[in-house]
Formats: sequence, structure tokens, C-alpha cells
Amino acid sequence: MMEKAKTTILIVLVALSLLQSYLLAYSMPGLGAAIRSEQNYVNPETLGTASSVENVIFPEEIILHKGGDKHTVIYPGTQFYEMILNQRIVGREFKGFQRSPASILDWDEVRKTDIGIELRFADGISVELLQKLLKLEGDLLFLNERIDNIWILKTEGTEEIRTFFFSSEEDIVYESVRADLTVRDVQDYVGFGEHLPEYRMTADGLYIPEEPFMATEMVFPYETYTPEQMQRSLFFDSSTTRAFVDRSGSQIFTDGKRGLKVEQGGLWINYTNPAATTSNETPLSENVYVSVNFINDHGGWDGTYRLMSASPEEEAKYVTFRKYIEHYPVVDTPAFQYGHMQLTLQKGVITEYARSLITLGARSESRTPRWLQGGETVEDMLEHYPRRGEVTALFPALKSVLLEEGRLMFVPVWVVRLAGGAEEVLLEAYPAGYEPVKTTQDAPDATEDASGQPANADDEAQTGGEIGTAAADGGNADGKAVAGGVGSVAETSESDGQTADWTLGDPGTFAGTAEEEGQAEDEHSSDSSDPLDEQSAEVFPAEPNADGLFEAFE
Amino acid sequence: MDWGRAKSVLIISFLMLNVLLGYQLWVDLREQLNANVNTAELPADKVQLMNQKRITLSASLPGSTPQLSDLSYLLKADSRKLEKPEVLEKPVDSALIFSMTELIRAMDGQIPDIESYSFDLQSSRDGVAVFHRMAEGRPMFNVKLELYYSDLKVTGYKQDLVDDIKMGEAQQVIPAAKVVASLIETYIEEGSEITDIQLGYHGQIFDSEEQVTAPSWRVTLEDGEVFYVHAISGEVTTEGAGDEVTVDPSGLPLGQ
Repeated sequence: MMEKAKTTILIVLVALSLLQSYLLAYSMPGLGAAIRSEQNYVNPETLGTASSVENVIFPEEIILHKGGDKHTVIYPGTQFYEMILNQRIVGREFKGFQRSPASILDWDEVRKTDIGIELRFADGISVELLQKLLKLEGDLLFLNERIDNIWILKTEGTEEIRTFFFSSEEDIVYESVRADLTVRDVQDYVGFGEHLPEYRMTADGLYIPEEPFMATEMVFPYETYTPEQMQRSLFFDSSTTRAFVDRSGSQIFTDGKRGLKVEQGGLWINYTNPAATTSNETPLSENVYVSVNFINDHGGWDGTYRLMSASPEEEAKYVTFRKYIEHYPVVDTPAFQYGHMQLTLQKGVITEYARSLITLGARSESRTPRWLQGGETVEDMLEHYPRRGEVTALFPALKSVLLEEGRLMFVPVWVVRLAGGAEEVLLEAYPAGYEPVKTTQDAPDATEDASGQPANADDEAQTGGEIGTAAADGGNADGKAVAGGVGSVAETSESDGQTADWTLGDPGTFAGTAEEEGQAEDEHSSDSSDPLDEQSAEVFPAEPNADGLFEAFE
Repeated sequence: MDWGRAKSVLIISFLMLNVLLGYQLWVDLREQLNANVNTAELPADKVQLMNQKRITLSASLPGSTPQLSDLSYLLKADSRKLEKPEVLEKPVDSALIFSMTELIRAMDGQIPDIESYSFDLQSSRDGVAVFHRMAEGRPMFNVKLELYYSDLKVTGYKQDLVDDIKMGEAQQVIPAAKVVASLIETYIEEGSEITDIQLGYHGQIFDSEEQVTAPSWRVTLEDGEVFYVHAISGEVTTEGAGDEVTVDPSGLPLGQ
């Protein structure tokens, strides 16, 4: 009897322990959650390449003052821009800033007479961010300042170099009294501009090239991220995300809080993630760091972008990066948005993110030289521009045009920026195949040489051979550079519209290397340019001045 | 071999094992229970922080953490698109807004679907009584019915009309105490007073018929500031932020 009871108890105990073990194993709250979170945790897909704040801060343009009221504008990405900024100025130190009223010098006079160089940042950039580009050491007052212009100049008649940082908010300049720049440096910088096109300045400070110059119309193939890729990248838990179509036909993804709106048939997204304002203060530059990191994590950067300067009020809320292709910024139209990324922040928290889903191919599919107007043409256009009084800047840019079959075209245009930040296309480059007739104001030796071949030159201009000659022009300068040991120049020159066009209109520069360059340029140059190249190679010897130009930086 | 003795040994060891397992189960169970019981209270360090920042809590902390799901619905009429309130042909007594049954009777079908709305004192302002559409017994903070009154008469209204409310997968919401604790830590300014805490639904409104709204805690401060805290993820939004998708106000790109 006793044994039977024992057996029963034992069986019950074994069963009970099995049951308890089961309960423990399968109803442990921690265990279940752990499994879930593992499933839910998805590494955000890394799209595109990462960048850093250093890469998005650079001046919009560099202006060289060559003395005698001669000026030249250099755009980002060009050979001289790189040489002046990245190979030279970036390595210099600027210390000991002294605050003075802006009226310390007569800047109009300085601009005309003294040689110097200006680095321009449209609406200004905080010194804290500028320190990512330049080595600056100053007091707190200076460090909290915003700078829109840096002017390095050699005063006429003395061997003194002065460096001024212009405040964008007040009429204040900061002079760096201990900058390790020498007279030789400034002479070098300005020397680079010796043979670059001349710019004239309007009364309100816009620089207009004296002559038309060549830019390039490009067609790029592109790929796109799918909206689903962006959705996975931007939403924590894509399983709770709903998708529907709004009244404008845009696709919308939302989890109730975040929203992702896919516009333009899957080419543009607008992500919104409303956030609360926190009571903690964040420095304005923090927004830029947060934005760069956010983009790194969500879509990345396809190419070069520049941090757009903004007014301090805007900077507290928006961070915008603008795409650059080769030397020029990309502008778009409301109908087709492309070429910029904009983030809206609230004290360091991203609440909106608008960008394109397009990733451009690494190489352009075709390139066509297009001449950008200069001199009177631009001046006339500006004069007749209805909002002339509001124009704050004039710059060449590339207008994006969506083509069929996954291709984008970029057309060179002149763009005006208006007070308030709006931008409008002033005029589009001359049609492809058109070469403006040169008004020879250049060196007298050039006109002399040209007179030897007038009929020929005209013929070429009419048969579309001008492109070849332009390439030849560029080729000459580059050829010398190659001889001087700069191996990469020849390769990039053809894409480098400026290098090529800046020597344009100087028939004296048609030289032996033209042929090789003519081939590098695409089919446009092939048929008509060769005879001229040969001829010019025979007729015109290499111009000594151009040689001197390249000696300057060797 | 003494089978009887062996059984005794086995019984003792299984008894011990059962006690051990039983204790473990009990501890787990108690933890789970505690998690729900303690939610009605703020952790001590947050109370201290509250005192430091002179934040007062005059609302009661709801203790329940129900399972809620996000809702999708069709927005049939959007009051945001109305410039002026629609005029009531037969104005009703404004005192009636506090009594839903009498209000419905008095309105006499002048406002469609009014029985689905419920008065919300917190959102109401001078001259405007705000009602929220109820779903599953909880207010949808984005879906409003505003009654405009003057001289003790309700004369006009603006209404968001919704239809076809669908539910998704339900999840347990985070407790109100946690929400308040995180708000105190980062968002609420010194010297504020929390006057109301309510669980409902809130979401971004898109320019579309279909909308999605997620379970959210609404925390109202005395100065009228409102925080919406996503009741699953705990993310915080303020009133007004993201109610309407705004695009690109900075003058970029061209022509904008």
C-alpha cells in the first residue's frame, strides 16, 4: 500500500516538474522578447557612400584680383581652384584676429589696385564650421562670428600681406595679424589667373566674364533607389508601415508617426518625422553634423555636395546641401526636383528630409560643348531682368533635365540668386554647335597671328569646327602642363570646361597637342578640326606667356 | 536493491526540484505583475527631478496599459480645408456641449455622425468647443469636430468626417508613468504643470483620403502646450508639428 502511494507521488512529482519546466521555458517574459527583438532588429541597409563635414565645406567661388581693375572668377573643382585652395591656403594658419570696422580700407579701391584673392561663402558660414576647412585660431568673439568672405591681399607699394575675414552680419572685419602667408604666395595665386578669362564687375558687385566661355552639356545615365529601400532605411519597423497613394498621386509610407512621400514617379522623397522641441540648447553647427550623419545612414552621397550657406535664422532650422557636377552647382525646377538635399531640424533632431532617389552614373554618356554667354549679352540680360534690384549673385550652373530611359541631361545656364535665396535661370547657354564670334580684346600678338588665317578660322566657325578649336585651345595649355609633369591634367581637361575655354580666343595657343586633345573630345571635333589643328600647329608657335603661367606653379 | 528506498530518494529529490522550479516561476510571475502595478507610480529619481525642475503633476497617471493597434481610416471631409465654419441653420444652446445626449438631440441631425464624437475640454478654446472622433472608446486627436459658439449659441461647426476605421495588430502600450518620466527628463520646461494625460490616437495627416494614426499618449501642460507620445515606440511630437506635410520653404530649388 505504502509502495503504491510512493509510486503515485513520484509520478505526480515527475509530471509536475516537467510542467513547471515547460512553463518556465516558454513563458519567461525575457526570453520571448529577446527572440522578438532579434527578429525586429534589422541593420539599416547602407545606401550610397558616406561623407564628412570636411567634404561639404568649400567656398562658392574664388575671385582673383590681378591689379589694374582686372579680375577673374574661379569655380570649385577647377584645376586652379584646387591648387589655390586645397594645395595652398588650406595648409596655412590664420591667427591673431583683430576686430575693426569694415571701413578700415576702401574696398572698392583695394579691389581695383591691389592684387589679392577672395574666398566667397554667399550668405556666410560660422567660423566653427569654417575651421573644418581652414586652420583658424581666434578669440571667442571671432569664433562665434559668421564669415561670408575672406580677402587676402598685398597692399600696393608695400611688401605686406593682409588677410581679412568679413562678418556676414555686421560691418565688421577681422584681420588675421599672424597669418603665415607671404608676398610670394599671393603673387603665385594671382599668377594662376594671368591667362584665365577676365571678368568685369557691375556696380553692385556681380562678376561678368568679358567673353563667352565654354561649358559642357552632359548626359548621365542614372540608377535609383527603390522607395522600399528608403522605407527600410528610414523606418524602425517596416512591418507596421502602411502604404497608400495620396491625392497628388504620390506614394506614401507611414507608421502613423513618420511619413515618407515618394514624388515624381519614384525619383524624389520627402520624409517627415515630427518631433518635439526639447528644452536643451544645441549649437547651430550641430545641425550640420547631425545632417551629415543622417544622410550617411539614409541614402548617402552620390558625388560632391556643398553645404549651402544660409542666414542664421534659416540655419537654425534648415540644412541644405547642393550637388556639384564638375565645377558647377546643379539647379532644378519645381516640376523636377533634383540636385539638393534638404533637412529640417529642430534643435538637432531631423524632422524632415527631402532628397532625390537618383544616383548618377560615374561617367557621362555624352558631352557637348555649350558656350556660356559673356560680356554685353549677360549685362543686357541682367539689365532687362525684371527683378534686377534683388539680384545678389550671378553664377554659372547646370540645369537638370530629365530624359527618357533613365538619363539626366545637364545644361549650362546662368543663374541669378535673389535676395531671400530664391534662384532663377537668367539665360541658357548658346545652342550646341554655336560658337560666339570673338571680340578680340586679347593680347595683341594673338590678333596678329590670327590675321594670317582669317578665312580658315571663319570657315571653321561656320562648320561647327569651333569645338575642335576650343579643344585645341585647351589642349595646348594642358599639353604644356603635361610636359611640366602634371600627368593627370590632360585626362581631365576635356571635362574641365574652364581650363579649355579660358585660353580660348587666343589663336596663338593652337599648338601641337591640339590633335590629341581633339580626339579626346568626342565625335564633334573629329572631322573638321584636324586640318586646322595641323595648320595651326605649323603656323603658330607655342606662346611663351602660356608657358610662364605653368612655370608659376611648378 | 531496495526499490522502496530508491523511490523515497527520488521523491525527495523531485520534491526539491519542484520547489525550486515553483519558486522560479513565482518570481517571474511576480515580476510581471509588478511591472503592471508599479506603472501607476513615477520612479523616485524622476520625482526628484520633477521637484528640481519645479514641475507639478495635477493630472492622475492612468495605470492601464491596454493593447492597442494603429488605425487606418478614410478622411472623408477635412476641416483644415475649410476657411469658415459651416453655419448651423438652427443654432443650439452652447451649454449643451457638456451633455452629449442632449446635444445630439438638440442638433437634430444637423451635424452628421455627431454621436461618434466626444467633448474634449483640453483642446477647446474660447468660443470653440472641440470634440474628438472616438474609436474603440478612445479619442482620435487628429479628427475633430469644432463647434463655434457666441452669445451662448452654437452657430457653426467644422468637422473632420472619417469612415472605414480599420485596426492593425494590437500591441501593449507603454505605461503613462514612463511617458511622463521621459517628458520630464528632456522636454518639459521648468516650472510647468501637467494638467492632463490621455490615451488616444495621433498621426501625421497627409494630403490623401487614406490616413494612418497610431496609439499615442497626449500630455497637456497648463500653458496649453501639448505633447503626443507614440504609445508603442515612445517617440515624442508636439502639437502642430507635422500636422501638415510642409515642403521646402527655403527658396530652394528654383522658383520656389
